[in-house]
This record gives sequence, structure tokens and C-alpha cells, in this order.
Amino acid sequence: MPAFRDFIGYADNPPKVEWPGNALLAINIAVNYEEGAEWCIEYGDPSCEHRGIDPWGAAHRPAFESGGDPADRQRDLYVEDVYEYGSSTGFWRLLGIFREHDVKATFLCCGKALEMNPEAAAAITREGHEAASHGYRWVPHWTLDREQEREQLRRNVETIRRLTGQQPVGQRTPGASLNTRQLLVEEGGFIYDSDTIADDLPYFTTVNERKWLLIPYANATDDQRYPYPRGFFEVDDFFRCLKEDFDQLYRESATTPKMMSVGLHLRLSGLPGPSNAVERFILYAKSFPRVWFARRDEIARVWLEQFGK
Amino acid sequence: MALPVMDYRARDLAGYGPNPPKVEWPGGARIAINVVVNYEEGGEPCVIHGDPYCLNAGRDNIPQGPRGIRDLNVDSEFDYGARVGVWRMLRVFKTQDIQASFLVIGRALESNPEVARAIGAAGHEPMDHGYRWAYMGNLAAMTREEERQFLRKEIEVCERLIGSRPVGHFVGSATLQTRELLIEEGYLYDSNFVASDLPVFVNVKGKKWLLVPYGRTLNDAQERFALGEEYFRYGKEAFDRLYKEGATIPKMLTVSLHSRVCGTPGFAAAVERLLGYMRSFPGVWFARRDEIAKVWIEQFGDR
Repeated sequence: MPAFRDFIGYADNPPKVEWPGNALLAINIAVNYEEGAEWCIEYGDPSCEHRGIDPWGAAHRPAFESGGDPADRQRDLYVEDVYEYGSSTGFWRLLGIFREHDVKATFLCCGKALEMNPEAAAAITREGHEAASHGYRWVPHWTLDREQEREQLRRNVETIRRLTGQQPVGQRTPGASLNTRQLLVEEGGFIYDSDTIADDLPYFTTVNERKWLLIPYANATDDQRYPYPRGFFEVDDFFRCLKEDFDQLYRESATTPKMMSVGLHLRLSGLPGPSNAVERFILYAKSFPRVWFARRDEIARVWLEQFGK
Repeated sequence: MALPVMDYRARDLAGYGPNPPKVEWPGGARIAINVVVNYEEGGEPCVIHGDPYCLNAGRDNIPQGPRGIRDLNVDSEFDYGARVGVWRMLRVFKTQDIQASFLVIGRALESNPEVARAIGAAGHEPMDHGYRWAYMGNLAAMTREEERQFLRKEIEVCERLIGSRPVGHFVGSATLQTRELLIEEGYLYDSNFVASDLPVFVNVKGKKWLLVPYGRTLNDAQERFALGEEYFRYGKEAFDRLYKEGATIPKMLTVSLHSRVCGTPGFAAAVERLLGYMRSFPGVWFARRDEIAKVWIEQFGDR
């Protein structure tokens, strides 16, 4: 991870990519599969997780920062249930929506979560979705030292391979550290990471003196904003958020093809009401010509092919 | 017309009361609209700039207090404003034929000089927003000479990178000392003031000094605006009222923006829609803050 920050980027001259099928806008749906990988007393962790548990009024008390609070040192069955709902019910609901509307998505997978629900891991591959890496455990990687993080990465790659049959080629890291990007390059097998929200288009940076591709994520169009003070109050707010960004990016893509990132969580958008916002957006976007729902690895390969030389 | 002028050290809770002055805006406009963009990205606290934390002050990241780490998500949201957001807004202003005021942090301009050139080339006004954000909340801790050098550094950066010096100032934490120094350093007005819909004079050591009010509520940094659409609707409410009042007493409205927020795709579209809505009425004058200041000084400044 560079010590510098690039404030300039493409400035007023973004590159013109040619998406497959002459598409104008590539849309990636990235589903964070974390349920079962969060901190839990049952696993021997010092406290249970409280982050992002519930769209309707979550406690923002990250476990890794409140680990010293005695109140957190006992099992919280309600919190555990919220996560278990995501993997046992929310996952299958979202998978069904993707199948019905022929959308291929990227699942950002925590290995520990897949181990708790191997049938879901198999379904990700069977239905043609990408299994990317999201850390073996759902812990901020900046809390780990370099070797601990390398161990997390190796274990996650091994678990994803074993349970999905896919070699993960991309990663979005929970709380990326300054070592993350170098480790991805050193460990090999990866072609991109998504630890940036700094652009509307993929871009290259330099890691260990070689070109390294970043496929941006977007926290603005992520369902994690349901519980935020500055977030989504009604289900339709998330749809409207996606629609207003889509409308502008689609308009701009007439001259410069663009990309849009939609972030989902099983325990949020997998709930009955919120899942409607996802389906409504897919139908809305698909009502326009030249819209390409793409996996992150597909976007990465197009970008590498056209700009990677 | 003589307006009331209070001493700058006093609090003025009466203001213009029921009898605000009737300014004559150019072209007989009913309302002057100032669009002001905070360009701060790269000036905010960040570990790589030697600060103790990375400031989490955008819209989209997990709301939480400062952590003593290099927070890549938090930095990345700011980076978006400089790489993408500000350019999107510059295009909106070009399409809408609007000259805006840019509240620039000098350090942010230094990390992206092409943006500074574009601001100058398009005829937007540079305003002083402090050379570094890191000190904005702490101007009171500066000695008089330190604060003077802080102003001069910002003036120097604007002259070098934008092509002209700032004559207006807003930092959000100004002190009485700031106001005294602004006069000594050749500024025309400041906007460290949200207590009125209209500009106001105060008496600073025998000299009339102009305050051009900043926009407190129609500000994309307000937590209430989760979506661009909500900003549009609130902006329309504010405009409709002031435009109506402006039929008898001409008014002023500030549209306050931040590159990393208003420059996201949907928000930018909503701002453009709002500006287009305002433009569709007769008697609407889109003005830079220094233009508003000059009109006010000419008509009420006893010069």
C-alpha cells in the first residue's frame, strides 16, 4: 500500500474503455459474505460483534474496539441470530433474485463464513458468481501484523478454493492495512483489489514496482448505509440512491463508458423488504440498453487487456 | 442609506429585525445566489501528512471518531472528491454558465494544481479556507503572527496556482483576532457568519467591515441529506421562500457544497437540477461572493 495519496487521478480525461457487447455502463454487484466470520464468544474471541447488525438501529460498537467492555464478554444470542439470518435465509433470497434476472455477481467471501455454510459456497460457483476474497475472519486487517495478515490471506485462499472450487483473483479487505496490497502481489494468483472508493473507473497503481489494478468499490451505493445516521430510512431510499447514481453515470457513459459498484450484505439486503430495493434496481437498470452486469474479475480482465500493457 | 453597525466584539441579536435594507442587485434581480464549493481534499488531517489521525468527514464511511491509523477507506473518500468530484462539478458550472466561489485549502491545491488552474481559468472566485484544515479548528491557539503567516501562505498559494488572491475568508473557527488580521492583510469581507440572510457591516476598530453570510442549512455536508434528491427538495423550499420575499426586499441564498459529496454521480445531478430550477425564474442573479460584497459596499459602505 503506497504511503502517498494520488489526488489527481484521471482528472478531466478519463480513458474510454470498450466493454464487451459495446456496453456503456458496467454494473458490479458485490455481496459481502461475512456471516459466521465475525467475532463471536463461541469461537474464543474476546467479545461478540456489534457492527452493522440490523438495518433498523444498529449499535455502532466495533468489537475490536470495545473488547475491554465486560458487557461484551458474553454470548449475545440476538446478535448471533442477526448474522445467522443473513447466511441461512438472506443469502438464498438474493441468490434467487440474481438467478431470476440473470445477474452474475461477485461474492466477497470470508473463508470462516463459508466453512459454516458449505452449501452456500457451492451454490456461488454453481450459479456462475465470482468468489473473491474478503479475509478469512471478518476483522480489520490493520489490527494484524504482516505475518498474521499473510496467514489470514493464505488460509482464506485455501478455504475459498476448497469450498467454491474457484481461485480468488480479487480482494476487498475489511480494514485494509498498509501491507495488504504488497501481500496480494507477493502471494500471487490475484489480479486486482478493491480497497479504494476513490474513482468511478478502474485504475492502476504501483506495487513493488509493478502495475497493479484497482477495481473501485463504492460506500455511497452500499446497503451498509441503512443503519447510518446519514443513511437509508426507508427501503425505497436505497433504491433511489442507486437510481440517482445510475442515471448520472449512464448519462456520462454516452461519451465515456463507466462503471458502477453496488455493495450488499446478506443480513441487510437479504431481509424481505430491503431485497425489493435490489430487485427493483436490477429491473430498472436492465430497462436501459447497453448495460452490462459484470463480475469484478470480468471487469478486471477487460481493463488489463486494454490498458495493462 | 445608513445601516446599523455594531462593534465587532458585541453580539447582535437584533440585526435588521423587521426592516432589512433594500439592496439593488445588478439587473434588478430579486435574489442573488452564491454557489460555494469547499475544496479541501488533501488539506484534511491525515496520518501521512504527520497528523495524529485521518479525518472521517465525508458521507459514506462508517461514522466513527478519529482512530490513530492510516485509514484507507476514509482517505479514499476524500481522494474521490479531488480525482472525480471536483471535475464533475466544474462541468456542471460550465453547463449552467455559473461562476462560483471556491473555498480552497492551500494544501489541497498544492496536491492537485490542475484543479487550481481550472478554477482560475473558468473565472471562479478563490476564497480563503485556511492553508491546512488541521489548524482550522484551532485558530485560537495561534499567536497573532502565526495566524498572519497562515493567511499569507494561503494568499501566496492562491496567487501562484489559481492566478489571483482571495479577498474573502471562511474557516468555521475564526476569532476576533482573525477579523482584525483580515483587514490588515487586505481582504474585502469574511463569511465567518451565519446570523442573517443578508450581508451585515460590523465596526472593527473604527473601520466598517463586511460579513457576507455563509450557508448553514443548504449545505451538502448536513447529515440530513442522505441523497442528492433530498438536497434538491430542501434547496427548492429555501429558494421558493426567498424568491417570494425578494419581490419586495431582494435577498441572497448560499448553495454550499463539498467536492467529495456533491461530486458523487447522483448528488451532482441533483445539484444541477436545483441550479436549473433556480435559473428558470426571472430576476435570479448567480453571483460570486466578491461580487455580492462589492455591490453591498458600493450601496451601503459610505464610500
